[in-house]
Amino acid sequence: MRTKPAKSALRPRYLKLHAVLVFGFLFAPIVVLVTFSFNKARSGTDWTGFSTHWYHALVHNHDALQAFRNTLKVAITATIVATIIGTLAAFALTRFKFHGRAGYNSLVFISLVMPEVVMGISLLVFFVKFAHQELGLTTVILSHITFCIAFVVVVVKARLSSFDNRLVEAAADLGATPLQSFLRIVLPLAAPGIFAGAMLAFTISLDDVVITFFTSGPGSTTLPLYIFGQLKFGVSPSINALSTFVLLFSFVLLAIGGAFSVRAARRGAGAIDATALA
Amino acid sequence: MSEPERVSLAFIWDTASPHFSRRTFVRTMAFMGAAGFAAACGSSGNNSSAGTGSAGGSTPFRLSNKPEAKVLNFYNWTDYIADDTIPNFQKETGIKVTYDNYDSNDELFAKMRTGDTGFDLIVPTDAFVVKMKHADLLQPLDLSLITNINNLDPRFRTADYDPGNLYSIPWQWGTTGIGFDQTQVGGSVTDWDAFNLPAVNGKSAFLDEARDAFAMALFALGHDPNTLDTGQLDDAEKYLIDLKKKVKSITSDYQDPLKSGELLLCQAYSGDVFQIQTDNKNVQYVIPKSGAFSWVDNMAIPKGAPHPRNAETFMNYILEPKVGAALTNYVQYGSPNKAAEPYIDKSITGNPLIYPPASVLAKLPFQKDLGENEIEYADRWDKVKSA
Amino acid sequence: MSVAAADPPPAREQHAHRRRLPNWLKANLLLLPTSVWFAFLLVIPTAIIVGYSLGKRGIIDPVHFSWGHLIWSNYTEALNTIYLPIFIRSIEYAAISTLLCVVLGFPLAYWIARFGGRLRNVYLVLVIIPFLTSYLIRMYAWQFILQRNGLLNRLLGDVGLGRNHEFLNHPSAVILGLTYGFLPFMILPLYASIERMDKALVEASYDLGHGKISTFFRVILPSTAPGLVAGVLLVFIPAVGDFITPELLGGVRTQMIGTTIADQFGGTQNWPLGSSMSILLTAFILIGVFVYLRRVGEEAL
Repeated sequence: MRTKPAKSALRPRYLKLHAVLVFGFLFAPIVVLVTFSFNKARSGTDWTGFSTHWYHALVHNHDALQAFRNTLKVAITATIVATIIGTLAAFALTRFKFHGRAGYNSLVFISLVMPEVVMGISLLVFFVKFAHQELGLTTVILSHITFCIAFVVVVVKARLSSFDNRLVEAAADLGATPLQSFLRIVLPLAAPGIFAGAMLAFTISLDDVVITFFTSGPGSTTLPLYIFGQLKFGVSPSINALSTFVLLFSFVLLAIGGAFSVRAARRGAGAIDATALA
Repeated sequence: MSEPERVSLAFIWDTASPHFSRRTFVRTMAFMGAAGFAAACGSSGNNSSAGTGSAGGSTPFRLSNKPEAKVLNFYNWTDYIADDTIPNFQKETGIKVTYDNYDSNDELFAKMRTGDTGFDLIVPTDAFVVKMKHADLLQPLDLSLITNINNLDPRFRTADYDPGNLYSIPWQWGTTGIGFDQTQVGGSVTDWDAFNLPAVNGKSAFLDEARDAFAMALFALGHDPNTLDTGQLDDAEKYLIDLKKKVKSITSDYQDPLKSGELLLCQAYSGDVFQIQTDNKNVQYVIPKSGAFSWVDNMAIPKGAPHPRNAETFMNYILEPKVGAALTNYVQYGSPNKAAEPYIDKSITGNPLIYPPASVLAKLPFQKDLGENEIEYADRWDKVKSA
Repeated sequence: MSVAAADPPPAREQHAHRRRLPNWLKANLLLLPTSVWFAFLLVIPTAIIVGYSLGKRGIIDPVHFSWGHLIWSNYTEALNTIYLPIFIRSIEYAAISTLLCVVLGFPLAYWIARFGGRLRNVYLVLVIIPFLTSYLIRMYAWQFILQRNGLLNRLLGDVGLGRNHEFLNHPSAVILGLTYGFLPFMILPLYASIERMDKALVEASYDLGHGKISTFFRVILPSTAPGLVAGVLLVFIPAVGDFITPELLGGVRTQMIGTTIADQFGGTQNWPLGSSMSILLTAFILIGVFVYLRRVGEEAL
């Protein structure tokens, strides 16, 4: 962090201004949303006074809370599974050359490009006609993992593609087992990429409407589906209150996840320094 | 505070299954194995594996005396039911209701077409009752179990889309007319030609539904809204392509824009506009003079539903006069239940836009079942939208 | 400067005495879970769609498929010229949005990675927070800001710039929505890549007498290329097929291909046509992506 600002190609002062503006862009709709969750009137567009009424009402909205519970079950499970197996795949795709790599990458891209409706319907047909699986939370989770994997693979690959294999070689020379060098060197180095991939997976899973609609069964309505139906008559303060609540809750979850990854990264950084010195 | 109202991290997981993720994982792995096996069998044994629908062997044969579990999986539009409808039903019958939501007929239809979804009771609009019937997705009703059926207004016993209620029991009904902001449109709105008012140019919309959009054009041109005459359909197609140049969008999500003033006039479902009025008093609804479609949302039972008996019990329950009235008093649409009328708020039964007089009713036909010819409308609609 | 190219280790043989699994086996073991997953939940469903795209549209079954009677005309129909402008429009909107995401995202990611200090993870989480609310809610919030009686018009009116601008229903509203919706997909991979960049290289470049611009193009850009490529892919590809954004922020003249395809499974009830359209879209994007990756020299394929 000791770089002289004047020398930098991208000057921090302008960069900071740019950052403030982009954050402003990112948060503009969120400010609107949170503000109107405290609106007194039922209207989503005219401010009539401050009230926490909609939050009190939320606590008694059994349907919404049940949908939220479902959403969290799906998003957390999907994020964890997709992050683990997607990371493993990304390792394989960057560290080894083998036949069929291009084909594998194509699969990843197919799951990104296939329009959601098409993916939803094809998964539904698969579950119902081929796998004879009852629709429910399980089918929703399986589907979410499928489209989350691609995001994890692409992000982790980007992080690893500039990975210097000599570190692993050095560790091996110093007597580290492959597992040790993986856990102490490769994994910590990849941690920011894995964390970024996991965050993306979590947000897209939390948000998905179309694929969830097609693969859900009785009792597995998720929050986006619930909100989608409510939105027909526009945004009401109760929807805003619900969204604000979800925002805070998932923020706390992310913060916990983030803290873990920071700890892991720090431990990893120590390990790298050690190998570099040795 | 009762159980589901407590908000903490622990509430994410069912208390009954503390090891949710691990169990899910194990189940998932088991499923993957089974799926592979099933896929292998399925693809080798069946050369029309990509085809779906009624022919599948998974549709269970319905035994008349088989006792059902006390469960009903109800799939309905969001917020389209009175608060006490389900609790009272559960108390009365001991049948536990799982209530899930959808928000589009098209998506419901697409989902049902792929086969068993586990739902017992759905609420498609009339046009989709027809489509689902043709696609062999609905079970015929056992009307002997629905003893309250005579409470229905006779108009709904013989409706074009399902004469004799062989597959469906109406839930609520309304009309497809025009919603508009009376302070902004700069003229009186009485008929479909209101789209020509200069003030609404570029600030109007019509519905993203083939039959509804064509009906608007056909009514405006003085043709039969259920026509199959090529010349009349050509006229209507041209009318819509011309109209498209004047409107802002083709959408079924007009409610919020109409409320906020982004749209000043649009083809709209009656009930939606009444909902908007609770927030914006300037928005009005009109049934166009030259005529409009009646729409009816109907309860129906998908083929392969695990608890059809319970669904019929529920239908019968809804047809009870007081239950039907409570529903209408909450959602504020017209009730097909004649016997319920004495219990419905006077503000609803006295409103000519919800309960139109006989002279207007004569110009509010139902969508007719066109069978295979429905495709004619669908293809022309695709051309209108892509033009 | 050769950081990106240090991929496969050259000298593995010398460790042959140690017990090691062969590389192909290691690769396959690592790939196994994803392979199994994709085989069932991606390959089979995609095959179903390919089957549909060669079937005949039906009333009872949405598609009649038979090996003896493959309907190739679904593809010629999908290539009908009436859909071409819609397709071109989709590519155009997605491309502009991707560019905007780079312009907005790169400096931000760079700033967080290099000047964020101990708060880096906090900033990163700040990027993602807005996306923890429903996409629809966010788009409705934009509607609220952009509509005729909206926040932006009120603000513009207050400073005397007129309050009757039409922002919605215009291509720029759709592009704004797409840019907003996919921005974190650009920022996160970029961050992960920039954070890894060797700062000493930048210093070295200056010491060798290179200027700011020269250093940016010779050092910073190449060493962050993997993140940039990943970001471009994650924004562009889903944006082409998006259909909710044009529906909510656009109008009659901003329809995108995702909407057209969704319509074939909805109102139009022509599943074979919708399937062939999405197969063509997928094929086209895949070809584009491979050409692009070849061009940018990403040899990770």
